[in-house]
Amino acid sequence: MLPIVVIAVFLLVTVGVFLLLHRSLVRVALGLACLTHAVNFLVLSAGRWGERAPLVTPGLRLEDVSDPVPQAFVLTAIVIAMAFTLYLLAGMAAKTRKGGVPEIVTPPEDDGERSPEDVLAELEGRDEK
Amino acid sequence: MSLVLLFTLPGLAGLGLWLTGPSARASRALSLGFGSVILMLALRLVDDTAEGRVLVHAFGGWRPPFGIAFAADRLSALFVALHALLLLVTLAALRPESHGEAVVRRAHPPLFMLSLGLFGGFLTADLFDLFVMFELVLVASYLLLQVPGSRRSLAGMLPTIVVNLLASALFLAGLGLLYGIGGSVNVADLHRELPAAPQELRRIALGMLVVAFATKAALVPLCFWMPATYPTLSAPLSALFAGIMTKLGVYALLRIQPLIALDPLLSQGLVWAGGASAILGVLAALSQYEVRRLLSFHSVSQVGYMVLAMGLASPAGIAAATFFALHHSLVKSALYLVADELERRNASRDLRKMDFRRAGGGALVACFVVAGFSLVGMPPFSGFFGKLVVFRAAVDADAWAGLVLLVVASVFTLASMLKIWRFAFQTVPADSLDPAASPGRGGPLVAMLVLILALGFAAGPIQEFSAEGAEALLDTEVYDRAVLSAEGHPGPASEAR
Repeated sequence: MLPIVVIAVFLLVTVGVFLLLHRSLVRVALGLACLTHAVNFLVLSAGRWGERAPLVTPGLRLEDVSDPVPQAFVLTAIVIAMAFTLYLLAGMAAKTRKGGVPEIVTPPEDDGERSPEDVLAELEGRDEK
Repeated sequence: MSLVLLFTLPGLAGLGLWLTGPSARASRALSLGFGSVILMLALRLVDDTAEGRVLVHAFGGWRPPFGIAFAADRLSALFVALHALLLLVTLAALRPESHGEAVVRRAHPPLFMLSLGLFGGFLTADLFDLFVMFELVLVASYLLLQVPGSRRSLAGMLPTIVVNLLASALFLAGLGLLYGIGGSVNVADLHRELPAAPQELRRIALGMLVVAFATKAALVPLCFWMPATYPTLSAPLSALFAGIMTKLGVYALLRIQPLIALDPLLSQGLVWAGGASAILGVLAALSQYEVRRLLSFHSVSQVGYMVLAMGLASPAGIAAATFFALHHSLVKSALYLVADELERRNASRDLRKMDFRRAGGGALVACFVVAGFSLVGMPPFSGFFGKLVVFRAAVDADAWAGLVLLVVASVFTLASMLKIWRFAFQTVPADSLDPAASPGRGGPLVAMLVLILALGFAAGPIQEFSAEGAEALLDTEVYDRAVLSAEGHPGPASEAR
């Protein structure tokens, strides 16, 4: 079992890093999904996961049962990673609707060239012109 | 009991405000009420832990290390009180008259959710729970980042999400490895199990945690998400973020210091990263013209001081890092509040567009002078005492190279404060408008001024408190006994001496 996990983690990390290096937000989101799943496999393997019984049943020694704690960790981590990926995609949609490109860019610096009305509108949470 | 209340009250307050959606004024009054109660609870916690007691609560009656436990020692209590204080000042500074009703109403519910996550992070004795609390804090901070709702804040949020997701993945991977070699994620349990673990595995697992925490604390070279993000926040919120968010990373690094100290290589790495942050952060700050970007790069520099001090792995170093964290939170929040006033009065974020005639008013000038001098490290302000203990710890540990870096960084800090002073308080830009912008109220500024002065004058007792806390943190004896012998039934928090 362990070699399969190692190969899976290796492949997922490779694909994840490759996708992350792109500017497009869709690729970045997919890359992050790959990376977080690679980490999930890694955490699962910490629970001596493999050819062991999933549940404690009568007549079974405790050493022959897989450890449930890493599974609980991974369950939590999957939910969290999914929520953040969704938030990222929602942010991307909002950005596209406001006329931006769905790409990761450095946020623009304020070089002092904007009109005072624009700056005040932004500071007070109103829509800019 | 107070541990559970500290954790649930902000959650209930945030949920209540979000569900009922009161008007900006009502929301502000309610928030100030909740904030005051939270501050009282936090101060009581400091009082309860002052003599070295560790308050423990085991959730659901599951005894640690099997269940999740909250444990408050002096270090936790200090950070909890710090956040409660900054939260109240931020709530007071966020006024519908000066910042717009929309900003105030959008900001309140996530602010309390942020507090819930921060308190949970400061109080938990379980590393996986710390991971969950980090994520809670992140969710709330993403909502707060969207309070201005502008194109710029959207553009600022997306890279932050990506960087923080990567750091979280690294944190989780480190946790999995730690569980694999130590068989537990409970801090007290790990104190006992990890010294026997094989060194290489331990180094990799802890190294992953350190890199993840260093990303949250914004250390060079993992810092660049922060100066890109904080200026896009609504200004009083960025005062809270600069004060406490990076401190969560610093706190997490402090909490695992007994584990890091097992490995001199990791401690050495912290010293170098701290020194590099201190000098590179301040150099980057010097080249900025946007006030809040300048201040964010300063945070990178100042976090470097703390991390260098804790990397010395001596009780004096830990105590210095704790005191410096307190000092820096207050001073940096005060400077952000000053920046907020300057930005709104000048209707510009750029130093070159600022006009000294709009920077009038005693509170603003006094607060900038005191906070600026304190940041630089002039006596009798808090920064002097903070830097004194850091330098002394570095001398005791023979870290001369680090010491030189810190001293040089201090000189540049003075230069960058003078830059703000010169542009915002002394000059008139070429294409000047009439001085017409309306100043806000000076209350929160005066409050921060008093707090900074108080920290300067009460530096002795507070340093004693943090020194005792540091001794107890590295010794771990009392903490471990309290956590691992916690009562196994649901009920009031059990206490152990």
